[in-house]
Amino acid sequence: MRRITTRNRILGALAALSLAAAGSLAPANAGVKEGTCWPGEVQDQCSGDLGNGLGLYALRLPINFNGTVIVFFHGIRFGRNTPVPQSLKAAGIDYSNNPAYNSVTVPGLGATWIANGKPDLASGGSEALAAALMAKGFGVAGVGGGDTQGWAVQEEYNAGKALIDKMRTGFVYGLKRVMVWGESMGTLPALALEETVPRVSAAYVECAVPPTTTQAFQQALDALYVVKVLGGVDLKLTYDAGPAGLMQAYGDLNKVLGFLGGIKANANAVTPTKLLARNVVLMAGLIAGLPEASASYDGITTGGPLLASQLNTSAAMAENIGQAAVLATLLRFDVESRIRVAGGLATGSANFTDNVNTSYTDLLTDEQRAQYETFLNLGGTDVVDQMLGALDASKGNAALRYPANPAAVDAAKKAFPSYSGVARVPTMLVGYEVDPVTQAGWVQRYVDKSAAAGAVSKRHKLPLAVAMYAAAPSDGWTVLGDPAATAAKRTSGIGHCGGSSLLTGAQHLALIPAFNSWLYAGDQTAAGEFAALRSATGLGFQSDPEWVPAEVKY
Amino acid sequence: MRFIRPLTALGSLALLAGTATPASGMVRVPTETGVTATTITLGTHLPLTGPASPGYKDVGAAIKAYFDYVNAKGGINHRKVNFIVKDDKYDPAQTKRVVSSLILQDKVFAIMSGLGTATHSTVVKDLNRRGIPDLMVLSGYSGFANAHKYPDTWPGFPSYIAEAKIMSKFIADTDSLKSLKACLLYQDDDFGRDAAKGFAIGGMSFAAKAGYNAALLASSGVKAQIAGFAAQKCELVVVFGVTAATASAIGTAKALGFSPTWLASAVGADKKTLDDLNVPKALLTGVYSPNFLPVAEDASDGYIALITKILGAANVPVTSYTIGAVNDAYLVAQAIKAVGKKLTRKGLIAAMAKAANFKTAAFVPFKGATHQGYSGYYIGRYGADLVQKRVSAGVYETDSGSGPVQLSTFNRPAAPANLLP
Repeated sequence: MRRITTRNRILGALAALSLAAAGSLAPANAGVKEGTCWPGEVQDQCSGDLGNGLGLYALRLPINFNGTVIVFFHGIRFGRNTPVPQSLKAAGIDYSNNPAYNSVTVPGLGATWIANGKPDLASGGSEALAAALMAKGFGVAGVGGGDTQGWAVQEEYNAGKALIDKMRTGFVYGLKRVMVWGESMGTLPALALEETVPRVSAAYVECAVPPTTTQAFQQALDALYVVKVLGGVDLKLTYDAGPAGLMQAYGDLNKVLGFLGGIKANANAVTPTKLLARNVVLMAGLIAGLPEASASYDGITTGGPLLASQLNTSAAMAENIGQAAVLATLLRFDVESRIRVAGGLATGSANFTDNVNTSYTDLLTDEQRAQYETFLNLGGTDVVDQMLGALDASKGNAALRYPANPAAVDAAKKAFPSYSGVARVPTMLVGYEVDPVTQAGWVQRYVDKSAAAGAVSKRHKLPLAVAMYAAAPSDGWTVLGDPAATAAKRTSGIGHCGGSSLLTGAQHLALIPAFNSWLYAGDQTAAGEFAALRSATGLGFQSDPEWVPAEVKY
Repeated sequence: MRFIRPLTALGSLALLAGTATPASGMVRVPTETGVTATTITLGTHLPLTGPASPGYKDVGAAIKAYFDYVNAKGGINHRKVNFIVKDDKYDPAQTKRVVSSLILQDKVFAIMSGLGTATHSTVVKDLNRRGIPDLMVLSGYSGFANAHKYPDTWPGFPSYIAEAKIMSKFIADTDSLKSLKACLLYQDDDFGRDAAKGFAIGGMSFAAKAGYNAALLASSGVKAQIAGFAAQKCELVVVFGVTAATASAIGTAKALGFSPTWLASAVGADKKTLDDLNVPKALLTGVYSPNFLPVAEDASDGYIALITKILGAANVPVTSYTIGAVNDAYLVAQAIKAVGKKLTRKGLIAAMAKAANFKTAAFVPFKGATHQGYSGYYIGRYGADLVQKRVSAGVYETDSGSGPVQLSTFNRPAAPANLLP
C-alpha cells in the first residue's frame, strides 16, 4: 500500500469539505484513522500491493462517493504457464499495447507476451468505463491476482478477500456497501466471495463461467473431441508437464485452427474421414451447446441458396470452435499445470475432465437434430447416424477416450474456488445472447437454481438473483460481402462478454446504478429500474422478460 | 350495491398504459395474453413462399376462412378470432424469428398448425416453457407427441411411426401386395427415421432402401434412387416422403419403363401439390396412400360439404391440406368454446386433453389425453378418375410404440348442421 501523504490528506479533507458543502452524506473527518482512503483521492493514491504475495490492487474513490465500492475481478489472461508468441500478431493476436501484458523472451518460443498482475477496474480493463462509474459516484477497485495469471481463480479469490477485509476495516472512508464484479473467469472468485464473505453486499456478474472449473473445460473438451474423431484431426487434448506440454497444447491449437481455416477456404472441404468439414464443426458445436451464431455470422442471413442460413450457422460454429479451442488447449495446459502442483502430480495424467462414458448421441438434442438433419445429410445419406455412430463407437473405452485421473479431479476441486449457484445477497447476472465461450445459459442456470432454493429478498420476497440479457439484433448482423457494415450492426449481445458489441459499456453503465439502487432504495425500486432498462430503446437489452437462452448441457 | 375495489399498483399501471381494459367499465378485465373481451388472437408459421410452399401455402388461408366463418356467426363465446399467418419460408432460422414476433409483438394466445419438423423444432421448447398452447402441429414427427416433454403441444397428423406400422399391416393383409418385392424410398431426416422405426415394429422388411435429401429434391429429384430400384426389380415401392418425391419417383420410373406398385405416405400424394409443381396429376393413378379424412370429391360426406362451402366462400382451393386445416381449426374452436368465457391458456390446454369428445371429420379419434392426436389411417387408392377410394378393410388405429395395429371401432359422429363450435 502506498503511504498517505500530508498532501493527500489535505486533498481528502478538501474533498470531504466540498461534499459536505454540497449536502452529501460524507461525515467530517474527525476520528478517521491514518491510512484511510478518502473520496476524491487523486488517481491511484489508494492503490498498492496487498502483500503476502497477493499482488496489486487498485482503488479509486470519486469526490461524490456514493458509499459503494465495486471490486472488479478480471477474466482470463495468458500468464506464465502460457506465454503467447508474438509471431501470432500476424494472426490478429496482439497484446503489444495491452498494459496487462509484458513482452518477455522465452526459450523455445522467442518473443512472447505474458500477462502481468495489473488490476483492472472495470470490464475489459476499460479506464473510460471506470471513470464513468466514478462520475456516477461509485468507488472502483480491482485485484490483479498476482504474477502467475492464467486460470488464477484462487489467487483472485484470495486477493479479493484481502482487499474487502481491508476496505471493511476502515480503509475506505464513507464505505457502506461492497459490490463484487466478476467478468468471465472472474465470476468464479466473485461468486465464491459472494457466498462466503459476509462483507460482500452484492454481486454483479457478467458472462458467468460454470460453477466449477471442471464444467468449464468439459464443454471445450467435448467440442474438440468431436473435431478430433470426425475431422480426423490428430489432437492430444490433455498434456504433459512443463515446456513439452505447452508445445503439445500449441500443436493442438495450430491443428484446430488449420482445420477451421480449411473450411473458411472451401465450404465443401472434405475431411480424411470423408465427411464435410463444415458438418464436423456444426456437429461439434451443437453437441457442446455452442451458440448457433457468432461474432461474424448471425445464423440467419442467407446469400440465396437453399439452407444457406444453416451454412451461415456452420460458419458461426467454426468461429466459435476456434474460441473453444483456446480454452481446450492453452488454458487446459495452464489448469493441468496448476493441478499438478496442487495435487503433487509431477508426472502422469492431470486430466480432470472425463468423457469415457459420454453419449454424444444424447448430447445432440432432439430439437437440434430435427433442425439440422437435412442440412447435415447433404453430406451423404444418413450421415448424422454415421457421425454419431463414429463418436459413440468408443463409448466406455478408456483407451480411446479421455479418462480423468481421480487425483486430478480431487486436486481441481481443492485448487479452484467454485460457487453453488444460490444467491446469498442481491446478485445480478448479465448474459450475452451470442457468447461463444460463456454461454448465457449459465446465467439462467444460476437464476433458476437460486429461485428453486428459495433465495428471495427479505422485504418483498423478490428473487435475489436477477438476469439481464444483452440481446443480439433480431434482424441479424451478417452483411454478406461488407465487413464494415457487419461490424456496424453488432450493436449488442455478441461475442465473449459482449466484446464484439457496441453497447456493452453503456449497458454496464446503465445496469450498475440500477442494481445499486437495490442496496439503498430497496428491491422494488430496483425491479422497476430493471424493467425500465429492459424496455429502454437503444440499450440493447432483451425486452422480453420471459426470454431465456438455450440451456447449457453440463 | 356494488363496490369497485381499489386498483392495485399493477392495475393502475395497466390502465395508464392503456392495456386490456374495456371502456365499457363493467366487463370483467381479461388477464390472459391474446384474449380481450371481444377477441382471441391465434398465430401460425407456414411456408407461404419458398420451396416448401406448394400445397402448404393455402393452409393459413383455409384456417382464416374457417375463423372468418365463425366470426361472422358471432365468434366463440362472443369473441372473434384474429388469426395471424407468418411466412417462415420453411427456414428454421426464420421460424424462430416469426414465432418470436407472434409471441412478443402480436401477443398471440396460442399457436396452431405450425408446419414442419425442422422448423417447429426451433420453437417447440420455448412455447412449452412459456405455457403457450401449441396446437395441431403439421408434422408427423413422433417427438411432438411426447406429452412429458411438450405438455402444451398436440400434433395435427398421426405420427410417421404409426403410419409406417399401418402401411406394414396393410401390405401384410393385402394378398396382391404381400408377396411383392418391396423397396423403400425415404426422406433422410426425422421423417425417414420415424418410418424406419414404424416399419421395424410392423415387421416390414425391404429388399432395398434409398434415402433422398429434401433440400436436393427440387434440383436432383430421386432419379438415382429409382434407377437403383429398377435395377433391383422392385415390385412395390413405398415412398415415405413428400409429394414432390412421389412425383419424381413415378416420373423417373415411367421414363425408365419401370412400373412397380406404389404406396405413398399421406403427405406424399396430394393432387394440388402436383399441380403447383407443374406435374401431371395423372401420375397418381393407381397409387395407394393413407388418409384419415374424407376426400374432397366425396360430396356425400357431410363434413366435406360444409368444409367445401367455407373454403369456396373464401376462394381457397379444396385440397387434402386445406380440408385438414379447416378440420383442425374446427377442433381448436371447440376446445376454445369448451373453456368458457374465462379463457386461459391453462384452460385451453385442459380442454385439448379432452378433445376426444369433440367432433371432427376424421375417421379416427383425436386422442387428446395422451397427446397422440389422430390415431390412425385408412388406405386409399387413386383411380383413373383421380379420386382416392378406400381399399383397406377398414380404418386402422395404432400408437407410436409397440402397440398393435387394429381395425378401428370408432364411429365418427354424424356431421353437424354447421361447423360452428
